[in-house]
Amino acid sequence: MKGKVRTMTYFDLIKNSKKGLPKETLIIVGVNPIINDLIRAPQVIANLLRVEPNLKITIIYENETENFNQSLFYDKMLSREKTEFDRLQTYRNRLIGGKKARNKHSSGFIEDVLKECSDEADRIDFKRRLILLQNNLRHNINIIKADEQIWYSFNGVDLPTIDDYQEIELKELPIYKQIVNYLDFLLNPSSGGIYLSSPGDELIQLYDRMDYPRGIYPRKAFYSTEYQRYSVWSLIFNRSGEILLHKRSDYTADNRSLWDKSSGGHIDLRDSSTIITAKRELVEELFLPEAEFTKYMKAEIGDIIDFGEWNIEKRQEKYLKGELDGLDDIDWAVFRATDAETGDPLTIKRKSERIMHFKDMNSDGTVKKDEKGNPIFKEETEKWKTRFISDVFLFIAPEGFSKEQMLLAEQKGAASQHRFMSVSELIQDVIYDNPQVYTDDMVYICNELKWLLVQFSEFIRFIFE
Amino acid sequence: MDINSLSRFIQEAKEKIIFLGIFPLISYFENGKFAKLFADKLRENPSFKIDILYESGTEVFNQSLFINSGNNEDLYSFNVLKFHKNYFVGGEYGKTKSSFLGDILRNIDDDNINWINKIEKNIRLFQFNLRQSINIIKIDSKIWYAPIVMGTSKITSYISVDSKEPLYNELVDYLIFVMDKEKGGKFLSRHDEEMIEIYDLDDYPRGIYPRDAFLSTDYQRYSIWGLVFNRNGELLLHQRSKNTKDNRLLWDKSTGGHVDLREISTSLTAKRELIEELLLPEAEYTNYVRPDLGDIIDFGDWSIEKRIERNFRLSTDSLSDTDWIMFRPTEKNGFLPVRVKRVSQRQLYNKDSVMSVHETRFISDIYLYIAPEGFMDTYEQMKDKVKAAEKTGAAEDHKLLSIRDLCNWINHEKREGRAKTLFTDDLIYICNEYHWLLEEFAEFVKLAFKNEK
Repeated sequence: MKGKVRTMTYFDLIKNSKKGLPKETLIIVGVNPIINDLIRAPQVIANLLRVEPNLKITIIYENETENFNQSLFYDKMLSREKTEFDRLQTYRNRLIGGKKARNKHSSGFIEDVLKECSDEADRIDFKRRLILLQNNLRHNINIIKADEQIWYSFNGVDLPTIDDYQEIELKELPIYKQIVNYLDFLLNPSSGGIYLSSPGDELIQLYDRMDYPRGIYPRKAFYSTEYQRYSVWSLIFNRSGEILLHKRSDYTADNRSLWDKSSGGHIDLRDSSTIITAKRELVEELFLPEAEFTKYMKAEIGDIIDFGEWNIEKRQEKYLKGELDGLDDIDWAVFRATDAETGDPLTIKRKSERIMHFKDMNSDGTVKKDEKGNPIFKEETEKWKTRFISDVFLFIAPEGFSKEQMLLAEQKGAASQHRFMSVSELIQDVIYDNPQVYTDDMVYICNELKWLLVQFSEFIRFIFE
Repeated sequence: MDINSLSRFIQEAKEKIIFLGIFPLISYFENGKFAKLFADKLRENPSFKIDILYESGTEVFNQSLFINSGNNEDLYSFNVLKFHKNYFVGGEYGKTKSSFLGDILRNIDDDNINWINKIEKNIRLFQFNLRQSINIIKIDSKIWYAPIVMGTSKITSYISVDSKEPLYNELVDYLIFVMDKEKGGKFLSRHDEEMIEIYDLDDYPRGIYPRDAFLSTDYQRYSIWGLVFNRNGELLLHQRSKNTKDNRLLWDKSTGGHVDLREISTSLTAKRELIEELLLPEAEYTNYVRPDLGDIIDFGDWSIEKRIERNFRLSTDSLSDTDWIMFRPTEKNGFLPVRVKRVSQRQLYNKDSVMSVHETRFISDIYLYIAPEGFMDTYEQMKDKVKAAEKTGAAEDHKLLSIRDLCNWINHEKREGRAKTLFTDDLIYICNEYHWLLEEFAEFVKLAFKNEK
């Protein structure tokens, strides 16, 4: 419907309603239809918070994939307003304070609202009562709920305006109950809340059990065995054939302080191949934890050369030796492990058990901290399960590479410690002596991929002795 | 809305029904109720049209995520929803007889064998791949909608819209958009269509759409380009089939294709495409078991800076006689793998063989292969290997050319103004921009295997 004129703002809609302004809750799900009114008038939200001291405002905004898919409905004949992806993204950036939203608790719109505060006490109070979250589930319906009143609209060939929002007059209507249930679900941190993210949170592609990609969700959504995520496992060896391990940070909730494989991580949304992920993780985790992969200074750490599949049936050691001759002293070599029987690239699909620690909370909902400002964790732990598909890569470090070179990563807190171990020491320790200090993945590797560790370590000794 | 009144509206319908979203009504699609109603309708009015737009796999998956809401009344797991969807479309492969259409056929008891062809024209099933925010029923000019709040809705959720309400026109526009081939219709798919992951211009994956959706420069898809060399350093080219609607009869690179939804690394695509397009055009990759075709061994980066490999020939000594060598080339600086992002021009033919040029965006990873010795070192050997592909019409013809001959040929045809009628846009691009790669790799192959002659 082209040429429709907007006559009121979201604020008018609420204000002019029978019940008037909300006293306890204002929930907005889907901001695209009201984005301009919202962003241009932070004082409206600030005033609402000031007038009603018990009011809590929750704004749940569209994710980027939702924006992309909304933009596909644009048609120049039928749509009244051009909703290109870039435009929707600009709106979103204004709301959260830039694409990356570096300061997730006070950027963009929240900061604009907080600027309206007269003193620090107000700021703290407003910050607590104004919540901005990204919806990563399908966004089907735009909702405004002010206390008991509900309005809704949905997206057709273009964005609805505030005039298109329909009020649900009777609480007895099924749609009223459906929306209330939906909001309860979304705002419950242990049900739908796992699919919400804060600006700047890491998002990961989700795969169904048949390995089809099904959307992008935050890390906390993946503690389920109904679906999977993709990662790489990198096993790093020095030129004496010893394997590098790292001890996970003492301040992470997931597998805190356990010894783990050399390196590894999720496939980034833009990685077109897992070899790209493996190279990136090596650079980020070991050398430049805070750096962007593409900007890394290759002069300092040498190149990472992909030598393809490590398959000694097909590429015998004595010949591979010649292939590695062209490496500079500071260069790294990486191989893709292959399955001993089939020769196919090695991919592990499994349920991984994670030991979860939980932050201790003060009564006001803030995290308890020690004298250094680090979070304090509770004693009790839980075991959670998550499904991974992991491609296995084997790295050979440059001559003279030692664990001292990982100090930077340790200082940055990405890992608390590193060490090299011979494969036989490692297997003895993981399987017999101290299994409790290793991650579930590490125990799996030492049991199921022992052949690979032993063979690759022997291969390195053969090549470099 | 309840089933009795819906049945009555269907019985009274004159011309056309559209269903967008089947899950709220799934039990009536399954229990024979609709099959009988639709069969009666067709018997009484042979020109009656019914369009049914069903939920995509990703939509179903995302609806299933609401299941952990604790309120499980109308919520179902992915497997349950997928089962019902497959029951409706006739299994993963969508066989007419085992689909909902089959149920209708079984209700039409006259022996007219033409029904099976006719029914697919009268009743069309499409998968809806855009974001689905509402379920709609339109019967002639009457409209009902059911918003999707959480998971699937029920028949009682449908709300009727009066034609005087502004919403009525919105919904009419929405359906016009969805059903128009030039608009939203390009995002609809048939059950057996190839589906491709869509990437925004910043390379983020944004959903799954059919091939027809990609004739736009607003977004991209991912593919690989495979360049196959024989042991003399000659490049294999193929001429595209006379039956394809896309770049018909043009000469193209050796192999290439889309990254499949389940391929996490483009090297997997590269291997699959080599097998499917060149070796076993009729085969499914996963069923590829013929030992005489050998393995494809990934040798990693091809970087002249870092892998001088003066004795590369030796590295291949332990390969079987039938094994292939695969490399991923790196850019001239030796670090990043070659990845081409560009707008490609495609010549598309319609049903009447009228050609028009369209633009589409690709991201393409390049892979280089060396064929086994004696596999295609001569024209005759090569022709023998590709005869299956040529016979089935997967490709029209093949050629082996030295890089110099190839580039001379293209340059000659450019001067004559015929290049675009003979070569794909991609092939012309490769010869322009990656001439260095073609020449260097051909020289490398010749040098590595020169002593074999």
